[in-house]
Amino acid sequence: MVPPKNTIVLIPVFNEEANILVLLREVEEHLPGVPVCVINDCSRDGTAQKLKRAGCARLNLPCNLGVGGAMQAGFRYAVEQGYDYAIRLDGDGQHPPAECAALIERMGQGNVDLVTGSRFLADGGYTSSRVRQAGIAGLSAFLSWACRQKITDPTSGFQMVNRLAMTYFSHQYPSDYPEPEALALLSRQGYRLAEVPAKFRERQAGKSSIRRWGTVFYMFKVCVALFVDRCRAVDPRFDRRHVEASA
Amino acid sequence: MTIPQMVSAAIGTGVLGGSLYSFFRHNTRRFKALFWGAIGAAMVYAGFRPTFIEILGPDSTELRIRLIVALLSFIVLTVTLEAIRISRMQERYGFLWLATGLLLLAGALFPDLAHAVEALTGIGYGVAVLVVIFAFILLMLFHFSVALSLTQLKLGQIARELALAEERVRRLESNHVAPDRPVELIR
Repeated sequence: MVPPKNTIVLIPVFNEEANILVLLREVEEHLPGVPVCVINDCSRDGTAQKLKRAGCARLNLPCNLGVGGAMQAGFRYAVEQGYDYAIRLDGDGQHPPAECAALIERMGQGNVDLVTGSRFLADGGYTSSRVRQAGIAGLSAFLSWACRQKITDPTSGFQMVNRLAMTYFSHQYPSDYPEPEALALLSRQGYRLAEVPAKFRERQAGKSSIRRWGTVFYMFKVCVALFVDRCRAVDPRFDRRHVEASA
Repeated sequence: MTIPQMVSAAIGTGVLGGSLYSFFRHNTRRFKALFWGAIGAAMVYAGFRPTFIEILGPDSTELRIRLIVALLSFIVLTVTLEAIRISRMQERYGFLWLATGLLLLAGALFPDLAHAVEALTGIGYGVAVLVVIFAFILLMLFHFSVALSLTQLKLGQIARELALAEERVRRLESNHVAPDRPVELIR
């Protein structure tokens, strides 16, 4: 599946010197000619040197902002450079570039602003540990209610967004563990979401940046954030209907 | 004269002498010298008359607490104002300190005010001081959390802008390969 013109691949990385070059090669193989921008979230290992050697566009953040802050930088870059679509792949290689076809196809069908690759809709592939799956199930139920539509994989970062959603994200994107909250925010602003099945892989090499207590903190933080977001007023500048009318 | 009294009188004399010396030498702030001079004088006086507190009124726990609170709030006020003056602290962060200092000072200077509060709420003076200080600490912590979050937000924005600008510079540099030696550029 050939992506629409003016698509960019955004890859947030943090200490991924073992994976990044392999991933970039894979992207080149499956999405030939698509520009890539790697957001290096102040890695402490040799990621920056690897990126320099690869010679791709890269944003070296001067301090660690977390994946949310890094993605916001990526979205800002994409908006500034005039791209119409952005595909996000995680730097650990969990999201195989080969699976992008499903996202691109769904985006091409229209009537959607953000497409998520869901590992729970796909048969097989890597999912997660049992404990985490239970947490995700609870989160998915809550988020589905908040968004008034079925969300099977709220923590998936395997996403494709169009320019409208990208513009909103470049102004407002949650921090820490942003994916569920980002979905809730988008839905509240009137943007349209969709999910397609996608097979994930286990992280290729290196260590995850989520620590043991990360999961507990994660659940707590996301629940509070989702609740507070429901109480917030819709930002009229980025209200979907309003934005579309003026565009 | 007991030993503590003698020590107090001796230290008081030293402090008083030092502050007077620096007051007339003009090499320190006048206000600071006066402040230390007053403390030295009080220590000398206390050395000779341990019950000097009685010049303020009949000795009681409340009077002593009021004295301590007055001194404390005076220090808080002067330190805060000084910090704002030399722009080590922004005004917005000083307001809470000043308000609390003034409140405590008012309570210490005007006993009637403290008694009115006591009649209204049933809280005695000593406890009321603690309540005010505790509320102040809570407000201050809340204030810090808000300020910290705001700072973090701004830090993120700045970091992102910097990374974008850096990438733009890199692209410009790759288009115009800059010569290593500026001499050749001039030719």
